[in-house]
Parts: sequence; C-alpha cells; structure tokens
Amino acid sequence: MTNYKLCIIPCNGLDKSLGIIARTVALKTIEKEPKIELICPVLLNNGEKKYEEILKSSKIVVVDGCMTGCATKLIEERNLKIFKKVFIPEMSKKFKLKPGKNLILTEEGINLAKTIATELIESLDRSDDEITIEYKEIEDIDYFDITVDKFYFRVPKSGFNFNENDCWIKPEGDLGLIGITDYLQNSASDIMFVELPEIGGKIEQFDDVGSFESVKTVLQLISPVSGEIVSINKLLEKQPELLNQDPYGKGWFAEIKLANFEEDKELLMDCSEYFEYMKNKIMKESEHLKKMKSEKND
Amino acid sequence: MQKKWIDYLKKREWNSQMKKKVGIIACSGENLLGGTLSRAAARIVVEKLRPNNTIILCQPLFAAGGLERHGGQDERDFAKNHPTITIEGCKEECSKIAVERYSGPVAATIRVDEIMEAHFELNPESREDLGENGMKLAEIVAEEIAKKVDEYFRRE
Repeated sequence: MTNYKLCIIPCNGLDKSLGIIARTVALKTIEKEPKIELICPVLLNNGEKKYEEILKSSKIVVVDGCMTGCATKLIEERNLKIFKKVFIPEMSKKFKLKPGKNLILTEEGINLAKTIATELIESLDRSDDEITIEYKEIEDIDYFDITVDKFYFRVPKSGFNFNENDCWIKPEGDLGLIGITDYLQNSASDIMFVELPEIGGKIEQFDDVGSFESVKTVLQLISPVSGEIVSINKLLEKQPELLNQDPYGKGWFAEIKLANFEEDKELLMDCSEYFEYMKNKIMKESEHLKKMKSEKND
Repeated sequence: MQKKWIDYLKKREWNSQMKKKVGIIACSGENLLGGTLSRAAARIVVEKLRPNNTIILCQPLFAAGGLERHGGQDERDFAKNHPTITIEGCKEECSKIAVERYSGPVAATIRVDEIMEAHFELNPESREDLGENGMKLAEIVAEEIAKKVDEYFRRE
C-alpha cells in the first residue's frame, strides 16, 4: 500500500442506485484497507472538525455515483485537491457489470462495488495522477419554469423554436444553434456519451443529427430545421454533463446553416407554445406514474 | 373567452393537480448503523408505505448544493416549499441541521438510535447488511415515519 495517508469520500446518494454503489465501494475499500480514512459527506458538510485535519494531511479519493458529482463538489468548495476520482457509471461500463435500478442492490450491483474497490486499491499503488476539474460560467437566459415534485423544468421565454421531439433551434440570421430541451435532458437523466454529427453534413428537417447516451437510455436529437452542419460542440465529448447542466446554453449540439427556416418554422412551436406542450406532457406522465404506483401497491 | 382568462383557468387547473408531498431526508451516515437503518427506512416509506404522498430527498445532493442544473438547489427549494421529515441516525442530527440551514424548519424528526434502543432485541448484522432483524427494525422506523406523514396530512 502507499506510504502516504489516504481518505475516501463517497457521494452516498440515496435517490439512485449509483449512490448506494458509491457508498458500498467506500465501505469495501476501508474493509480491505482499514488505514484509509472514511469521510461522511453529510457530516463533513455539517462542519465536523475531526475531518479538517484528515483532509489536510491526506490524499483525497472521491467516489461519485452520478454526473452531479456531490462528493467532488464538497471537496472542491473547500479548495482541496482531488487525488483520484472514481465515477461509478464509467466503472460499470469498464467491468460490464450493471448497477441495477433499484435502491436495494442486486448481486451484480454488489459485485460491481467489490470489483471497483479492488481495482481502486490496486490503482492507488501506481497512481500519481491528480485531476483538475474545470467549471464554466452559465449563460443567463430568461425562462418559463415549472416544478413537479422535486424536478424543475425550464423553457426560454424567447429566441428559440421547438419541435415535438423536444429539440430546439436558436436562429440568428442564416445560422442557428440546435440542441435538446430541459425536458429531454431530465427524461434522459445523467448523460454520459454524445455522438456528434460531421461538419459539412446536409440534413433535412426531422432527420437524426446525433445521439446521446445516458445511464437510462440512448436518445436521438431530431433536427428542428434543414440545412448544413457548420460546427459542432466538441466540448460535449469531454463534458457530456453540459447537456444536463445547461441544455440551452453550453450544451448546444451543433450549428446549422439554415436552408429554409421560414418554411421549417411552420412546423415548429414558439417558446410559450412549447412550454404549454411540455407541461401537458409532464402532467400525463405524472398521472401515469401515479397510476402505476397504485396498481403496484394494490 | 379572453385569452388572459383562459390562461388563468389553465394555471389554476395545473396548480390544483400538483398535490403537495412530504419530503423524506435520511441521515446517510457513512460510518454508523443508524445511517444504514435510516436510509433503508426512508426507502420503505417512499417506495412501499406512502408512495403517493412522499418523495425522497438525497442528502449529499442537498448538502453539495449549487445553483447550476442538477445541483442540490432543486432539493433545497423542495424542502423550502414542502413539509420535510428528517430521519436521524444519531444525536448529531445532520439532516435536521442541513434542512434548517438551507431551507427552513422541519415538519418532524425521527431519531433512529432511540428506536434501536427501544427494540434492543432486534440486532442488525452490520452497517453494510442489516440482515433479517435489521430489516424488521427498518420497517418499524418506516412505520414511525409514515405516522408522521399521516399526522401532517390530518393537520392540513
């Protein structure tokens, strides 16, 4: 084992199985290497003093269950450096073990946690990589918004048009940026991979322009307009989470030279129309889920 | 009918359909049995006992906060605008501290360590695996939470 002190902080999330796996990884790691100090993210946030010394004198390993990166945030807001970062969805792909969706871990989920813990301990011996994570500013847009339970949905108040596939176009002269709406990113959940179109490609309205893969599903971006791709947001390949965090701004997908926007627009909705359309969709889904839950409990 | 009036009616209908729910926030304690029990009990309430009246709030997300999308602001706003019951693994009462710090007063607090003392015959196996007795204890905690949820709706 390493000759320096180590501590581990998992995200400990409770509303997704990935958080439970992150917690189990940390517990399995300290079970195998009891010298590694365990940091409880919740107690840390409440100002537990004993952690101050540990964090200052140890190299920090964070285990994040999802793109929100709560464990990472708790360390970064204290201006501390992360020595190693473990991201559960990435490990799940690497080891071809599914985390499962239920909050009670399946055998495969437990096996995934054990495998990650074993690999983590091995990698700590050889790792000297330090990770720097970049955060970007967020563009200000005026939004319509609606909260359903704890989920929050936004639609810009002006300057955008939308198709029924929950994709947007922001026209500016003969060019336009395209992307996915807040509703679509919320439905997809944490986006992990993005497949961008090729520059120079010609597309028709309602063609698939690219795809993105989340922990739940693979979805397509259906172009609201026809034209030619003139640029793509390469940053999404490195930071696909921008699609979740800022779908109308830094999460733009591609830029299109518009072929016939005035004609395409006839089949699109403006901002307030799309907001109403989205609200109805959310309501229907909410009712459907409620019905399913009641049926399950009967 | 005037458009303004139609918009108002739509909005009223929309608001009336958004039934109020109670937020359940568990201690998530990393290093203690009470943390595991509080997590399990919160799950039982939200998934089995009161699925239509409760919603789980993720405490690490709540604590990490952040105004950017998918940060903890959504959780904090929910607890600000809805009643929230905290489940505490020990006397530190981390959930209550966090809710009061970021959102406001809590509707009720359940202390798992006190319930454990009252049911000392049910000894959970470990913090990773509660075992049969531990799950029975989690069910008891969950029933206590459900009672608090019902009390809230009776008062409303």
